[in-house]
Amino acid sequence: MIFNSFPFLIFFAVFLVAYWNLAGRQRLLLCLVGSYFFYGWWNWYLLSLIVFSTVVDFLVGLSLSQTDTEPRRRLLLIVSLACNLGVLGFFKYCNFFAESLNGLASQFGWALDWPTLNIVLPVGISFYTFQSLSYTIDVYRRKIPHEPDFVRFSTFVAFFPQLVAGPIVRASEFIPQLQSDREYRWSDTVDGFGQTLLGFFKKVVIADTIAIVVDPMYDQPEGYGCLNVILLSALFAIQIYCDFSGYSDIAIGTARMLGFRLPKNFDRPFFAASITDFWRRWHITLSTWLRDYVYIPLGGNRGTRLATSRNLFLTMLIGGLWHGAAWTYVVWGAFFGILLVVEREIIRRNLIEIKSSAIQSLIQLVKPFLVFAIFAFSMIIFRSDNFGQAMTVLSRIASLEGLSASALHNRIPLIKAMALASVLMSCELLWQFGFVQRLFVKASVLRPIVYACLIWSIALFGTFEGNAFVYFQF
Amino acid sequence: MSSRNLLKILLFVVIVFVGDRLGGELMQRIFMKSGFRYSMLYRGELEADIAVLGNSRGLHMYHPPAMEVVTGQEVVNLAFNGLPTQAMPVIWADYLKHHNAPKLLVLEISCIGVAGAPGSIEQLSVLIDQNSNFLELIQDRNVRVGCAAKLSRLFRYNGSLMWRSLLLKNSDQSWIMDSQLNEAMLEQLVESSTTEMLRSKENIDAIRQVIETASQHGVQVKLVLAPYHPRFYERLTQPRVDAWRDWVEKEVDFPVDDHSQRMTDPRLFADHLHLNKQGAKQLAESLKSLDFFDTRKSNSTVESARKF
Repeated sequence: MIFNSFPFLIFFAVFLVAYWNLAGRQRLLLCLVGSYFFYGWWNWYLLSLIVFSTVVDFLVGLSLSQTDTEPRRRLLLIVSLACNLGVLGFFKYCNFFAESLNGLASQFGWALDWPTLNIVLPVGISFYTFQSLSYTIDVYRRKIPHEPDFVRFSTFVAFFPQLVAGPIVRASEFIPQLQSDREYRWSDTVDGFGQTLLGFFKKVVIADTIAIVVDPMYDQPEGYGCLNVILLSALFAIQIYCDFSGYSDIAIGTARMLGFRLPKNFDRPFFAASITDFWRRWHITLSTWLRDYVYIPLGGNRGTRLATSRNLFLTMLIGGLWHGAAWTYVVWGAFFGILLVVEREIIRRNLIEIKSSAIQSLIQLVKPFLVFAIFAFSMIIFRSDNFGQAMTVLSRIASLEGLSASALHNRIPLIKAMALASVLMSCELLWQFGFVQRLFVKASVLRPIVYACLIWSIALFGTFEGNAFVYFQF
Repeated sequence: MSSRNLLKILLFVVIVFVGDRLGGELMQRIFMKSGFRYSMLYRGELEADIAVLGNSRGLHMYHPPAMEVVTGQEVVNLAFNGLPTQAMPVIWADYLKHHNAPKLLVLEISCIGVAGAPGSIEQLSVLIDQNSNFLELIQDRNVRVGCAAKLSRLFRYNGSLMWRSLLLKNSDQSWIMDSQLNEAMLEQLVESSTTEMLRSKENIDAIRQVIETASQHGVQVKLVLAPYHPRFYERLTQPRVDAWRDWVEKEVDFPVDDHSQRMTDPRLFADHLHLNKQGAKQLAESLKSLDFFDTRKSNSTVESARKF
């Protein structure tokens, strides 16, 4: 079931009413059954994978709590890692590795012919696997106690608002919220409703409208000129932001209406002043997960400069691979790994020293644009199905052909997409400087008007083709 | 939930509903002020001697400025990109309601051979406030969109036609694609486009209705098939085009002027289906030499039409 679909709206309305009319164990069971129903609507068979991960990690957590011997604890952790990453590896990366090995072998003249399997990629597998894994790792590290209640633990793994595309929630953040009934608060309903509306606005008004002009370009990049490709690449960066942060907003908003607090996943990333800053603002729950469970265990910044650089690079490489089983994602991760290492060196060595305060101010102003341009550029690799397609898109930019407005394709949808994207970015700018927050505090009566404006905008500008969220495939 | 909060929810619903109606009214006014052809149609500003109806092929075949030069008569093009055949009787009847009857209606028939593209009928929701028949058409094709258009007046203005009208201050009658495709894009389009020529009874019925309304108002009708890019025509293969045209003539019981091979110079096409500005100009001159625009001649039989 996807958020921007009619069945979900019906499901959530019924769920919400039932949820607040039940209490205690019944409410918890409703959350679990509702979450399984939500996922099973798409594919009942693959629900078994979530149940498998849940059972394994629940039992591992229980066993970890019953033993103090380090080798046994480590063995239990390895069991959890092997099961979770084994399932993830099989369903998501099996064909990728087989095809890559076959390709590599053929380079040396060997016919390896490893078979590829006809596997359906389970929606959200990377998200719930990471979420479930973090529990066993934290129990192993004795950061959190094990969860003795199977229903509660299962609800933590499968909680439907964030099940298929995050935010990736830690057990330490969420399980305590399941331990007692959430108390009804009107403010939660109002805030949650607002954030959900904002999410729908970002998805159906901005992201899906931009998709209408961007998708044809990636289907036939040969026919597009330089200016067109540059504009569409910038728009795709905004599309993926609105698509993913829109999903996160709906997840956080619907959870809030149920009384739960989920962590923030985006913090206006296009106002980042550096690549490091960008990754602190973009997909925050994945960045912090990778920091805590990959970067720091690799040694973090505790070793030599070279070791730190290696750790940064490897973390981003894994982050890239997490997004999808394709070399384009690996290269995309490596690209940001290199950028982070380079940026760190520039800052550490103070390579760019500017004394003039006017130039410093100008640079501060330009930095977010530069970060956005780098991100939009990287998205060409990210969005392309293969390197050939990415190279064709890049070659269209390099050709410098079609620099006039008359060479633009689909002009009316393009103008609509640019206009809507500009409105969103202007709102984010106002939010960045605290204008919106101050307005809401000083004139709370404006809040329902703003919500109504979001509904009117969705009716007037929304694209209602039930497009799935981009991050579902991850 | 307290009764005070319930009251707040009720108030919010009222705000949303009233705002939707007011916003819809505003959108309608903006739409009706534009230079978009259907806004002008419902304002009664498209008086002409010759009217053209069809989908995008009709739009690009008969370029009013070029036709006016060769005929010395006023020409209006009511064809539009993706205009579904079922919508044509409604557009045509509304045109006659708001204008004097023209002498000649040129109806490009490619629309009979294609199934409505997704969203092609739905895009006409912008016209519901002018004629509720559009709502029925939309509901027949897409119940969900129909319900949404009933529920929200703003939703009726959600579509490319509204955006087009926002950008058009002056009449769009002179608009036409003025470009040529490069070889690679053309090849890709020719290879990837469907060559199916649909035999739709539903579309035939709609065309019959247009002809019937025209004859009731004393308007002479010409059914025409616009030129195809020669490369694409090769894919369609002539026996198939001929057979399909014969079928249309038989079903409608009306002759068809077949111009599908009239233009052979690839430079006269914007793509595989549409003439460009230069192509439309040359076609108008070519038709003039054939006395196509002479409304004194009757095309009441299939045989007489063959002369073209």
